[in-house]
Amino acid sequence: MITESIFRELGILLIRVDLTTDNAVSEYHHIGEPPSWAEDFLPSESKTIPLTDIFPFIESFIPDAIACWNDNAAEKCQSGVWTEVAASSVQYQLEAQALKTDNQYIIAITNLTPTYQLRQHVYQKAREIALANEKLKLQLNQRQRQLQTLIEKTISERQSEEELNDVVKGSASAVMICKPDGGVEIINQALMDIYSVSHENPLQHRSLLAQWLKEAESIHPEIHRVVDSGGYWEGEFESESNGESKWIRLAIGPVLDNDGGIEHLVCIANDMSELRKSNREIEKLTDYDLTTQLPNRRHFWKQLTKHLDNCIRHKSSFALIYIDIDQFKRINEGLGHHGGDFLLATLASRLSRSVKRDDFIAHLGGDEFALIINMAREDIDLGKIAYRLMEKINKPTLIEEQNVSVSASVGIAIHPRDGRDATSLMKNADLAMYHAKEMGRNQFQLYAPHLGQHFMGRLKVENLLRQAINQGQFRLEYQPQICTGKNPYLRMEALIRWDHPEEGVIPPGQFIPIAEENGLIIDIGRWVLETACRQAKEYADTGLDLVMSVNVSAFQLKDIHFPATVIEVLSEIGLPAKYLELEITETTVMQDLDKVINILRELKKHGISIALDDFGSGFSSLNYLKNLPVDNLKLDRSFIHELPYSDEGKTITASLIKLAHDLNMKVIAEGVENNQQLDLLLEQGCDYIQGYFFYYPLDPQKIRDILTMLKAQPNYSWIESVSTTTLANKRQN
Amino acid sequence: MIAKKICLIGSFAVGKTSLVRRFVESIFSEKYQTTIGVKIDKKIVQIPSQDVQLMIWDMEGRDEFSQHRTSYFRGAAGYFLVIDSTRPETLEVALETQEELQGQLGELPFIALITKRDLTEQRRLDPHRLATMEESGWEILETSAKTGINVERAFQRLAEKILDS
Ligand SMILES: Nc1nc2c(ncn2[C@@H]2O[C@H](COP(=O)(O)OP(=O)(O)OP(=O)(O)O)[C@@H](O)[C@H]2O)c(=O)[nH]1
Ligand SMILES: [Mg+2]
Repeated sequence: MITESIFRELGILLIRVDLTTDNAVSEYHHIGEPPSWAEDFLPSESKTIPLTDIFPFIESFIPDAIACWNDNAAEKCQSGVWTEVAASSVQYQLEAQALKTDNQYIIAITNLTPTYQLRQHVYQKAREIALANEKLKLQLNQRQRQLQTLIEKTISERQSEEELNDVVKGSASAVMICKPDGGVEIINQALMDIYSVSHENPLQHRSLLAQWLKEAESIHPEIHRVVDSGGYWEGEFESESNGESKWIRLAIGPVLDNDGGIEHLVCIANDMSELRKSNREIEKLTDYDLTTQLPNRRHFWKQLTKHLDNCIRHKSSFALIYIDIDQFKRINEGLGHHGGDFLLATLASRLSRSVKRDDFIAHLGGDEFALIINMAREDIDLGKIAYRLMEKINKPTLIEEQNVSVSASVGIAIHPRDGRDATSLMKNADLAMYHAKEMGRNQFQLYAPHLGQHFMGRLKVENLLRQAINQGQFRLEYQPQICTGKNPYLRMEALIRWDHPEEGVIPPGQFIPIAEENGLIIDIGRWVLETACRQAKEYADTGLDLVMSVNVSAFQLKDIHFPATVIEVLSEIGLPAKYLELEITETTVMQDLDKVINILRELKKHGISIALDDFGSGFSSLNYLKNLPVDNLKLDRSFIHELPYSDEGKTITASLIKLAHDLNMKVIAEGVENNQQLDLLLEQGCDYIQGYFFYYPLDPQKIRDILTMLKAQPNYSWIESVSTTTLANKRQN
Repeated sequence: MIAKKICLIGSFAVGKTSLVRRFVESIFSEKYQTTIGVKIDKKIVQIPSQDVQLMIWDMEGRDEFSQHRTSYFRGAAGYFLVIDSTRPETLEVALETQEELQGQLGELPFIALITKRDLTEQRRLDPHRLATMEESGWEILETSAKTGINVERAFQRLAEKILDS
């Protein structure tokens, strides 16, 4: 048989197993000529062999193999590696696999010895480093505790500060003694070295304790409780020092007064960054990813090119499947790195168990996996395979007593149809994956040429965007938000417009998301802010009062320097802060509530007002609203759109407006397009109206005209200018 | 002669392979060569009543990423829980493993081996914890693959325990 000789060539020993009716092994026969290595084990004369005598290891595998044959228990089909010493004393590394063909039960034993060295090397390195890490940690730990005790003793025995200073200053570990509120009492050079600060101003470290607590919190939520209650805390976390990220091991211990109150905190830190780095280094040295133990990107690339060569030679076909876990970043942040790694490792092992042996799976890094699937037959159902993989990913994983469910988007490209070289195959599988994500995630997509057009569009937009700022292709329009009461000033929202010399007008919906993805939004955002402020300044200089509202993206708000940037722009232009309002979306706020609140507070402190955009579109819980330093709420246009016909819509707007007023916020309705909507909103007490019913977005000159008109008629009322029945009725009553 | 399968289980680098090599081949090496998967060795031990052929399954050490397959333990008559006297974390791993194994295999005879006894200076295990373990009925032996102390004895004892059970 041809196939048998192939197995022999591949060094695989095939054994047919006969089962009795009650599923016991009755006999083993090896099939065809055994590969040469197996001759070292097999008795030469007979073909019937007591397999478990020759390979005692197999005995423990047989029940799994039977489960595999009878119940299709895919996860039981492989035995794992074992080492067997042959009669010649040569050691072999073997692995068995259970197969079923033509109703024959087969155990295939593969000789892994040739590649074992490589594999062993990876594990060896990883464990050696883990061992070194463990030892070092143990030493540090001990040193830390000794020092801690010594310092506590020195303090509690009321020895002179000088002596204490000596103990602390002499310590190789980084030490800070502080008050429970973080106020620094003593700090040593080693600590200043970690945080690269100079001797002159050690007290700038007043915030160090607070910084640590905040940084440690995400992986060690107990830290506040332990420290506040006078307990001893130690742990490791990522800490920022001058913009650089370090991995710190920190111990905090209290010195208590006679009544058990906390008098001082003794904090000892060690910089573990190097140690951690060495862990990452070995990953680079090897072809395997240490989190998931799967081949890594480099390994994958090698395999892919090898596969291509093979397929070209044999005129055969294969599929490249590209998997990206949906919203992994968010999950990872929620779980902490350990949880995230564990999740990846679990997914990896599930995925690798669900592919055939001659298929290839790799962990490309982060949340990306890729598979090479042989297409020996044309009718292989890739959709089914993709679906099976997605099912494996969807299965919940138990992480720290919490069931975590994730989904993935899958893209598939087929060689040679969708690409003849590795790069275009990867690109197209990635593109298909991206499309699957865009279509709502948790689905797969086969590559099709039309997907490319969309992609071209994106890429093109991206390229064009880079020139747009420099070449002054952006401009702003301003849409008034008119006041329903009597108000001497005009509010307006600055809206970006992009007129491309060849492509024409490109709507913001098409480029803003791309700019947010590639970071160009920072530059664009800054340009918008400056332009709008300059415009506002120009209006204000002619004595026209206004509020200029400028949109801020999540990306900008993530920058801790954002408030400083805004203040800088204002002072450069000379625009008083009260003329500026920043508009942020509800989703932006929810991404990092605490951080955003801080940034908003900072901005408000300078007199800038804040509006919450798209309010009501995102989160059902309104509770967080209480704590938000926000002046104005903008009702999401989807609510307004439903008015006045939807009773539900009416109830929602009414209660949102009431809620806002209770919280001392004003309400802006967006997208108001007709009289009925206006009437209803007026009835409900809405404060400002924005929409085509009054004004389209206007160019600066038109705004100037309105402002001039307002200046001439300080008591002008828009509402009175449009005849509305509600108002007429109201006045009659 | 009867044959019994025993397993060596514990964290990585605690000295499982070294124990087997000392016992089977009477050699010791300072060089660490991590085990992948399983290696099976055989040796006959003589206990007063009879000779027993021990099938010794030396397993890959447990670490963050490698979990033992349940199939490896199938048919085991007893096992060693191996703990490194210089690394407290390996004690935790052993305790965890024991809990899992008990769930999986039921009550099988086992002995906890505290290895590297020759490294007295570096000893880091909490004696109270060991005492508690002994109180709860664990049999604990302190071994050194380097000097050979208690190695023979450990295998002997486990074989006896297995036959007694
Ligand atoms: N001093 C001393 N060193 C020992 C002893 N036993 C093992 N070692 C050393 O500890 C290291 C690990 O030993 P191994 O026997 O390979 O450990 P293992 O448990 O088989 O490790 P894995 O296969 O990776 O799980 C080696 O460097 C050994 O030389 C001992 O009794 N005394
Ligand atoms: Mg070993």
